[in-house]
Amino acid sequence: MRRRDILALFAGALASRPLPATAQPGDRVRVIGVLIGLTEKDPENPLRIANFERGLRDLGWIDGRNLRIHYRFGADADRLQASARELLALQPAIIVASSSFVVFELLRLTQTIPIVFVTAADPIGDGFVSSLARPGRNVTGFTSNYESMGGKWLELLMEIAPNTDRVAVMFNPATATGSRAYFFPAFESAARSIAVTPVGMPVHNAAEIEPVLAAFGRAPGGGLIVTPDNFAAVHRGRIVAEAARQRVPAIYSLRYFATEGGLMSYGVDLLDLYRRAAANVDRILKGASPADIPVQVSAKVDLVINLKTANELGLAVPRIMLARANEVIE
Amino acid sequence: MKTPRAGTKPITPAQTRGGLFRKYIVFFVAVVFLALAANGPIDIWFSYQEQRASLVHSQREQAEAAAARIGQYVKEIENQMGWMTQLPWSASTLEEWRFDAVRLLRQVPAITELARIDAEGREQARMSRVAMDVVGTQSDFSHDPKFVQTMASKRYNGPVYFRRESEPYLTLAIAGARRDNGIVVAEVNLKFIWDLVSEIKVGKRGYAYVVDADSRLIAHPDISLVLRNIELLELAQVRAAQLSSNEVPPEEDQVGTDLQGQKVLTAHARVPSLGWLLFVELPVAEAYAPLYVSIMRSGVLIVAALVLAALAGIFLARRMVVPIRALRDGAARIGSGDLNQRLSIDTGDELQALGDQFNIMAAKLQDSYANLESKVDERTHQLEVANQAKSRFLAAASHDLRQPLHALGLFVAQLRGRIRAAERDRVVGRIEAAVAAMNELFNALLDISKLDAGVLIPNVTTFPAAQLLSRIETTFAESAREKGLSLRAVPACAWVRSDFILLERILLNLVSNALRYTTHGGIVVGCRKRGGQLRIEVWDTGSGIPQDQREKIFGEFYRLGEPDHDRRAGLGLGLAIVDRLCRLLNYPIALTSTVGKGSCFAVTVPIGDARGRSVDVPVPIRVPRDVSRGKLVVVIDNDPLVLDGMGGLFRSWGCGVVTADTDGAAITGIADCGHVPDLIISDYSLTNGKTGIDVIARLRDAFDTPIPAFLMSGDTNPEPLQEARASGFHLLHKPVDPMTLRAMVNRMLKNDAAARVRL
Repeated sequence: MRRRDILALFAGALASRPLPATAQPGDRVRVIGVLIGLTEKDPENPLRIANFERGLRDLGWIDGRNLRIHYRFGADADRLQASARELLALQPAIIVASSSFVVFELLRLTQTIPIVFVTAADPIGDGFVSSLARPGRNVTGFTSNYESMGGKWLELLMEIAPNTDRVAVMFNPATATGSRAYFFPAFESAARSIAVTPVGMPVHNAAEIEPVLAAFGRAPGGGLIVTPDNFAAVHRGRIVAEAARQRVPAIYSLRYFATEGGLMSYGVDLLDLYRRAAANVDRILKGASPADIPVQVSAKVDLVINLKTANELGLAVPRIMLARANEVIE
Repeated sequence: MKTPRAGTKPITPAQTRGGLFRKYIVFFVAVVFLALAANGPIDIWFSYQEQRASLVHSQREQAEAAAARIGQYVKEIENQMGWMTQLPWSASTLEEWRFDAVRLLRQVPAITELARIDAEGREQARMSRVAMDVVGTQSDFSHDPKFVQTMASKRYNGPVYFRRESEPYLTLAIAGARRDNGIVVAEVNLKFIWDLVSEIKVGKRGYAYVVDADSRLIAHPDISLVLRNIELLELAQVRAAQLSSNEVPPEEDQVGTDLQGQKVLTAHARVPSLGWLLFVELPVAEAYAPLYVSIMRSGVLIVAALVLAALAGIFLARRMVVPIRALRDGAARIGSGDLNQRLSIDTGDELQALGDQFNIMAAKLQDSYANLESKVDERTHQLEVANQAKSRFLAAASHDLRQPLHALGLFVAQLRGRIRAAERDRVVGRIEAAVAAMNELFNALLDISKLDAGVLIPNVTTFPAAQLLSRIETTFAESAREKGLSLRAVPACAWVRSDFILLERILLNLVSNALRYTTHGGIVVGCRKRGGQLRIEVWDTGSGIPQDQREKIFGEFYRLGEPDHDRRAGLGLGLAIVDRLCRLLNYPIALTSTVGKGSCFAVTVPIGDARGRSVDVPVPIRVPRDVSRGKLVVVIDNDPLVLDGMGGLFRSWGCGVVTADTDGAAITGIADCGHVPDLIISDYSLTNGKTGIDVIARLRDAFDTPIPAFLMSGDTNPEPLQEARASGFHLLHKPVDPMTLRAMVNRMLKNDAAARVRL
């Protein structure tokens, strides 16, 4: 009798043994880091985190069970460096970077740990990847890179504010890196084709925002384009406020500008990208190399119009613009 | 059932140890194993087929669904685009165009660019999601395939191409209902199709992918593969799918290979209107994983079942084999003599019945052994009694022999001395009497021996009883008168069917006894008819026989009380002979007696069928005419005294005699005489184990004539009597009285002469 029982147990165990398969989430707790180039208390953070974690959960990674996610923040280079060091000390398998600026700072510290950027305007130009199809090193991610976007932003701005005769592109030379060079040519040629003066507006630090904008806004007929830039994201409040004060219509590249008072934004859905970044994280955790994961171009660009701001600026939003808008904030 | 060969050794317990036991278990386990082993693979085989079919079916359904969705998706885009060519370019304003384009871009996020080309092939407007809109470029697309083909077939889709090496795009073009309307061209980002394909999940490691009409991979969960722009014609299933029509592919196409060369279960569907193929594939290893698990389970189950079967087999075999062993051991013990063995088998089935039968058999064996033993004891006792009787017989015989021998010695001694003629005659008479007494004893012994040997064959004839009675009377008249007794035979007219001589013997002995044991009065012999038979009675007025001795008197050498001290003292054998004769002839003998008054012995004999019969009475031997004078007689005996005596006697009769102790010596002796002997007389038992029969035969051979011969023997054992009877020679028993001898000699010579005369 005893022998039979033992045998039955043994049999049961054998029968229910799972098949050897590829490493499943759940084998052991993996560690990843997320470095966001905003201040820790930025209200954007929870949304980003939520989307990211949702994306991971859909793929079977659950923070606290088979995954340990460490979030670090840094609004400027120094802070970012410190946070990056902290993250690296935790020996993560991957670090998710919120923008090209963060990638830059990370690449100063590591050339081996896989980095997934959620958005980068020009990863090729910035040297992160050798080509979109084959990144070739430890960095991959998502891009909304359309160098022709400059022309589109201009077109949209002109549509909402037809009286604009000069348009400036704000950027921080330190953080925007290749952005200026990237978007500017299309912008410039587009501007000239419609007899608008293109202006470059470098801003070096937060303190310069107000004076620069004030100087620009003194003369009427000015329009502003804020290209993708970590600096702008960090200080969006001030930029938006100053632009409003100066009564300068502005178009931004990310939604939260518009929601926080900017006139409009036309660009990628960042939160969606955070969700999609989870797929890359999943692939890398399962053994893929970032060198082989192509950089994905996001074609989903949304137009967000803040009608309130438009009204404050005394702008009438044309019908076609409303038709085009993906989101209208009132 | 084969009977064992005589002399084969029974199989030893050591040889059988565990034999039956093992057989049962092995058989049991083998049966279970075969059943399971047969069932398992069959089951698994069918299960494999069904599993595969079901998987492929489900995959095909998924492929069909996904392909339909893609087709649908594209169709939707085309439908939406179709709106834009409802009217010719010139018919609508730029504003209207822009509005329509914006709406289209809103509704179809996949479209990145829209271009409106008029009926002449010139681009009139272009709207982009990511670039500035342009109007009126007038670029000439009249020779561009997209313009030409769309105008021709109303719709067009270009090959999948990649922007910036990383984004798949498809050019779709739709023409208006009228040729004048021109066409609209859209650049459609296929990312959405990638998402759709990536969402298709089959099992854990199944996936879907799409190839275009040129078998180039255009969608795959692994984007990098797509971006490599590879062609998949190397894969068999792709080739087959390209070649086949839209029908269900045959069974053989269910298994294909993936890019790594591993086998996959594959199903595909065609995307309508685009000519693309969507494949849904599952690695065979995963598809069959449940089967492997099932096989493993079956294996474990078989092992478990075998163990169970072995245990059950052990249990059952033990139940069977233990009682069988008990039976074997019990039988062995009984075989070695321990009959007290009893088995106790309590299985409640046939084995118990067998055990009970075994016990019954053992009990019966025990009983019969006990019986046998008691029978053996009884028989031994009987033999002892008989032995004792024999010893007594011998003792008495030797005793009774001594008397006359003693007397004989005295008389012979007397003759040696000087004695007168009258005294000499008297002494010779006494010698003759002593010899006669010894003869009588030997005759009586011979009779008993003959009767015991069963050599006497009754010669049954029918004769008048009166004849027998008168002879009896005649024989004993003188003796009776001497004793002063009356002897009377009652006249009878009955006839008797019996052996004359043997019946005479019976009566002689009875009357002789009566005479001996009666001192006064008389003896009467008579016949009486009783119940169809004749009762011959001998009455005497003797002393009677006490009750307790009525059985014993029929025993050998039993003499009742105080016999008459007469020179002819009884031997005690008379009634013994009567008893045997009556048994032989099967006549009941009855005795009534009163002590002091007398006795009556009665023999019941069958009545013979009467008259018309001539009396057939054997004539007693008389002294015949002497034919022996001058004949040559050969006497062979190993006793020199006998030879001497025989020789002397024959010479006194006037015969020639040759005496010898062996046939060789006889032949020599005969040769000295010079002619063929006329008679051979030989002792039965000679030296060196030769018998008289052999000697006679040799002599007959030597002279090549059937010389008359007879045997003589001192043997009273039954074998020589029987052999002699079988040989056909007459046999005389020593001591033979001279008269009898002479009669036999004369008879033999007479017969021979008669025979010769006849020849």
